Amino acid sequence: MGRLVITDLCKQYKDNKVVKQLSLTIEQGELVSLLGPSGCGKTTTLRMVAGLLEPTSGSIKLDEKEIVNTPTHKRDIGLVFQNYALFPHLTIYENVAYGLKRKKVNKDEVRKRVEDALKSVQLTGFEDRFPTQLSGGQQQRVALARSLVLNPAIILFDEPLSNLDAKLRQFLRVEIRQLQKKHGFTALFVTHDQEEAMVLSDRIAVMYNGDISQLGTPTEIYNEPSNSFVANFIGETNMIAVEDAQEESNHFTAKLKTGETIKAIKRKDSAYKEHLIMFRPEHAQVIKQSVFENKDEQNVLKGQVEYMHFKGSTFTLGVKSDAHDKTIICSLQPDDCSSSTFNEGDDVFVIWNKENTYIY
Amino acid sequence: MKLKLSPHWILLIPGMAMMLFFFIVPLGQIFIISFFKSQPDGAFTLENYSKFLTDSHYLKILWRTIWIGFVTSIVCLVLGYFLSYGIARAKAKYQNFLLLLVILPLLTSAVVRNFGWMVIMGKKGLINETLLALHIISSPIEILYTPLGVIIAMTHVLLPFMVLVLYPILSSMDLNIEHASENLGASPFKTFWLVTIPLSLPGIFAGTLLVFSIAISFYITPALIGGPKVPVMATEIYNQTMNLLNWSYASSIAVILLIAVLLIISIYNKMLSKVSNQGGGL
Repeated sequence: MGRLVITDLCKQYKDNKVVKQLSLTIEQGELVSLLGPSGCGKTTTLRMVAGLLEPTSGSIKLDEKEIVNTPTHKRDIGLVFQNYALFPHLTIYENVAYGLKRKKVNKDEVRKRVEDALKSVQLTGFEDRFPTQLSGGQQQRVALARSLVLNPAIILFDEPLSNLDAKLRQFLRVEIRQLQKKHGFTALFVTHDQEEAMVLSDRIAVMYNGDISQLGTPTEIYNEPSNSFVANFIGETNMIAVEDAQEESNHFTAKLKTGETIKAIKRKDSAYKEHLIMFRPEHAQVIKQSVFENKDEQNVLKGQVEYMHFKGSTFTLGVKSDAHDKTIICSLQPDDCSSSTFNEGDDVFVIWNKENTYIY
Repeated sequence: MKLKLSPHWILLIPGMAMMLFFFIVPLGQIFIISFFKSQPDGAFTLENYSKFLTDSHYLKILWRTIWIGFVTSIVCLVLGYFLSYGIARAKAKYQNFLLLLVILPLLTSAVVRNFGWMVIMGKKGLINETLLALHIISSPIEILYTPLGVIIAMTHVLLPFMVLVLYPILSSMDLNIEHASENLGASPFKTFWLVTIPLSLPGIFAGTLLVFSIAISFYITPALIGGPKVPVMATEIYNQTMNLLNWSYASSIAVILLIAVLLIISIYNKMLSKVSNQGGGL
């Protein structure tokens, strides 16, 4: 059990609409991330589901039961906080046992379930310590065990990893995902870290300005971003302004301010509204003038190399073109070039396929 | 080994000199005086102490001082806790204003406030007139010149101190910890009892200790509201010094009060460190 259905959820402070008509269904055992920049309403949404904030309007149903008016302590929903929020005056054992004791579970069972929960987060032996004696990662695992031990239908995660360092973050998110799959709980995961959302989620809801901008699997979100905001937020992009565009049978032909034409393949929801075309740095090839031969399915922009950065697994090439106000970013494999292939100021062509071109 | 003194020590000199000459030296004098007969030859004696500790009249005064202080601290704690909690959980923009209201009475002289209470508590005061008019009582009740009156007036004077100690702790408390408690199935009341109060224990201890120490050495309120009917240590010291001119006996009472306070504080501190060790601190 643990199907969460949010319908037309709104939160308004005076004239400020923080969450606008948000609807989202999370299936049982699914992990859905709310991903967005700060102030997009993702934490507000989570707090309304947890019952810490009262929605202005809308409905939240857990397993077909309306819970909007259920007080927090009577909802069957776990919550893991960004700052862990462990009880500093209680031992690790007492922290994990806290919820069970409130439910009047008998002592032997409490002991057994707390031990199991601590074991599943690999903290056996820490029972008698106090939270301040643990590292951040360990504290967050205690917080997870504290929710897990109650077998809630759904666990909410409010940016649980953002207080931890990068290495630990990567490690813990895998652990959270494994625990979620093993225990089969439904999860709503709030984060502003796109990589975290990609790795963890079954589906991602990219939020912008109080509403869901796009909902889809990580692959869908990355490969088929439905608007420029989502494209920009997930991964790197080159967003180039368009003067005019024509819709044709299977593609768009866009005209840039400097006269070049760019072709973009037509997709499910493609529409020309924002006057932008987009392509990702990793889809670009950079070729020196002399060895270039244009093909019809390729888009080409002329420019000069502005910089070249070696990033270990890739080279990042910045190309300045008259067609674009900003520097065009190209991500190249070390196989394709080396530090000596390009020099600052070289005349080059940036080439990418129309299949990898998006129009907004 | 050469003693290294950093130049910052110089900054301590004025304050330390003041404490030495105006506090430590007089205190030492009181201590010394308490061991000598005041009349006529001034010989060494333990008589002052034996007189106090064997005379039930004086022991009653000591006991009364302590229990009035104790009750005042508890009443201040209960009232002050809810007041601080209310302010700490109020909207941020109102908090400073509400705190100002709490502190405002401190800007008035304690004497003025106590005279105010005398008017309110008197036989024809506000309390009695109201109760009579409502036919709750048939004849005026005694509040003025009773321990009850002293406790009420002293609570009024000392409440701001309690709030000033408790408010910072309650307002800096991480609300997510309370939210976590509710999320784990504890009702708001249980959360208050199991999380909020334990986490504010250091403030509870510090606040009651502060109020208690001020209360048992308080002079103005017992003198005005309690009068001769409710003598406490401070008023008795005044009485011995100014009316009976028995300075050495007054000194011994002062020393006994000081020792009693220090004793209570040290017991209290032991309890406090035990509690905060258990809690792993805040």
